[in-house]
Amino acid sequence: MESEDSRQIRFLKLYTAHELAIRAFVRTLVPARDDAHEVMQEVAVVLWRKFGEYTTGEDFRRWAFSVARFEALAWLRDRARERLVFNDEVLQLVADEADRRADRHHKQREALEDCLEKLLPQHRELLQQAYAPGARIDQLAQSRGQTSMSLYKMLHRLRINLLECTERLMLKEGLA
Amino acid sequence: MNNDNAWYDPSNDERLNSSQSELTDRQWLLIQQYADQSIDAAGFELLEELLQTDNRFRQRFVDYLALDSSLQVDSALAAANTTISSEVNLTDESLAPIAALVQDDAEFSKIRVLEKSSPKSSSRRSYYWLAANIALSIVSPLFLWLYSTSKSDSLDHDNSIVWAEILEINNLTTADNAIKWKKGDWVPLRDLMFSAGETDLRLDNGVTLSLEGPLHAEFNSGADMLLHYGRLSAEVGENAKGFTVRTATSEVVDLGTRFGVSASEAGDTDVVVFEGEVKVRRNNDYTADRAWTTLRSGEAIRAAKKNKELQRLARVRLSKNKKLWSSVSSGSGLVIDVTDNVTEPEFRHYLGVVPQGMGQGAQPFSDRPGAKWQAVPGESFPQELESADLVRTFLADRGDRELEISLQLSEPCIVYVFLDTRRLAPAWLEKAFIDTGKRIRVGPWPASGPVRGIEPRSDGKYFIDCAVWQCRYDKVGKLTLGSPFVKGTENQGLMYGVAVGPVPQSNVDLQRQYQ
Repeated sequence: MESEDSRQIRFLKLYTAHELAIRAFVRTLVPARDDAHEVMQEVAVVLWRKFGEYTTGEDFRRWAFSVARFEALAWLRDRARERLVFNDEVLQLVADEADRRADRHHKQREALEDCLEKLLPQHRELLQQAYAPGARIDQLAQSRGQTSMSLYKMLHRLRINLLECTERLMLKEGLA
Repeated sequence: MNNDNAWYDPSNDERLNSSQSELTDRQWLLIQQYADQSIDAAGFELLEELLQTDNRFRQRFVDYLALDSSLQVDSALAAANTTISSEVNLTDESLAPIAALVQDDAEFSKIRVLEKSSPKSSSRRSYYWLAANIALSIVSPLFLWLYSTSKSDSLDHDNSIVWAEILEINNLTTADNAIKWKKGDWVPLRDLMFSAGETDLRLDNGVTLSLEGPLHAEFNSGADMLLHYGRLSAEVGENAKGFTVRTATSEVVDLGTRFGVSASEAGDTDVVVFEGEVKVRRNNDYTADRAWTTLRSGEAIRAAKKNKELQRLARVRLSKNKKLWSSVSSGSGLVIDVTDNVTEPEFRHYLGVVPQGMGQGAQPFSDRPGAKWQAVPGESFPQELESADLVRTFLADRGDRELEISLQLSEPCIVYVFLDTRRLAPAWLEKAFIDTGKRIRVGPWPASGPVRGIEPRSDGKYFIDCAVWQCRYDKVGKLTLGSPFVKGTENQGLMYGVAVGPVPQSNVDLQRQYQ
């Protein structure tokens, strides 16, 4: 019989190893970054609560994704009247796609660090400011003396460039 | 396309849709507006429709949001680093168990190894994402709650447990019948001993091991195991680079690869690399600062207890469908053994024998795991070659003028040699073999490969056609093949491939016979 301490350690190791993948998965389903963070906290608690069911040898990431999908969909259904929530069919399609591309996203994360280093320092700093917890684009735009729209566009261009860079690196290293 | 090393200034970018041309400006804008929560109702409706109907759009959508999530983590990491450095001291005794937990993790072992041997960026990258995980976890209420409910004095003990999922199990036998694993079980691994049978298992860091009895192994962590005796194959993913197998005589460290290790009770260790790289050093060689030797795809060595030098393993028997392998020379099938006359001390390539391993998709060269035999376009793979015994040669030998490869054959058979059509046939081949007129091809090859004179396919990949030569061998004994090199010609083209099939009931008279 596995001791409680051993179970906790096993969970922590598995959860820590897959947390970034689960976060990325949740983010694809939840429209707002802050909401994704909130859902992620709930997912972590449910994963631990249900960890007793994880004894049949399932792949942890796959099991965690199924829990995360359920939690994210439940969270979204509670907000179904809000205008930016996809219908069920689209949510299932997106969740399936994110699940299928999880390995690719893992490699994308690895390549991202090199790509971030290729950015101009001020652009790297801009990304950190824009993605900081609680950051507001309108305030950031104002402090930079530009409109929110132009800042959104700039951030989008940076993301596209990073996406392209990670794919180039993955291809170069035979990971794509 | 930006230069890899150039800094990128988006304010000068006027070609956002040139390389990302599979989506239109408008489509990218929808994704961006959704991610930034600035999308309007009409845009959201269109986005939903595209996600429902356009696979490629859906893929780019999830890729974009996965990147968005990573950028959020990057920013959280920067914030957490500030918090940790100003408020939390990781060397604080109160957090020592967490440090111990993390430091014993496979990721940290990987970092230690990579810092010494790999390009800086790989090490830095691994550390970066591990640090991101730790930073996120440490600030996570769940982590702190779990940590606070754990007894710190039991952490070290429990952390030594290595968990594994049983993927396959086949007739595993122990003296006391104590192992009752079944497929799908998660089991703790510490001291594992069984007298016969095989099992495939996956550690929780993703390392897949195929273990073959009799075997005795101890698992110190998910990144480090001691093989007292027995044979294993390991497949180590990016997450677990640095996975180490220690034996009585040697230490084998993965550098991202599939490899095999065998340890005998007499103290000899065999190491074979199927794909990627490992580094090996002897435990008892103190005279050379225990120098590491790097082995690459298609190389194999023996570290014998009584011999200080690493010896080349000239042949390896492989299983067609399983991950089992053996360095012993005898076995079932038409090809009992294969040897060559290479004596250079630094040469470590092995010849592989795969009983019934020939066919579409089979690997012709032990040192080129990516290249495969294929039918030429518009034709099927020659039926007589399907399930013939495959002999994997090594591409590294293609310029060796003195090379001889000897096949020990168990019964009358047809020996096939596959010669690059760019090469002239060497005299030994023309004398004993006939060109059947059939062709198969091998690839894909990169543009930097041995593809001179070959036109790439429309997808940019190169394939090389080979002529199928054959001879009938009516004896039981040794047949020797020579070098692919023809005197007076430029060395250009592949090393030949080899297969051995049974004598068909019909058309045997059409075969040229080996004298």
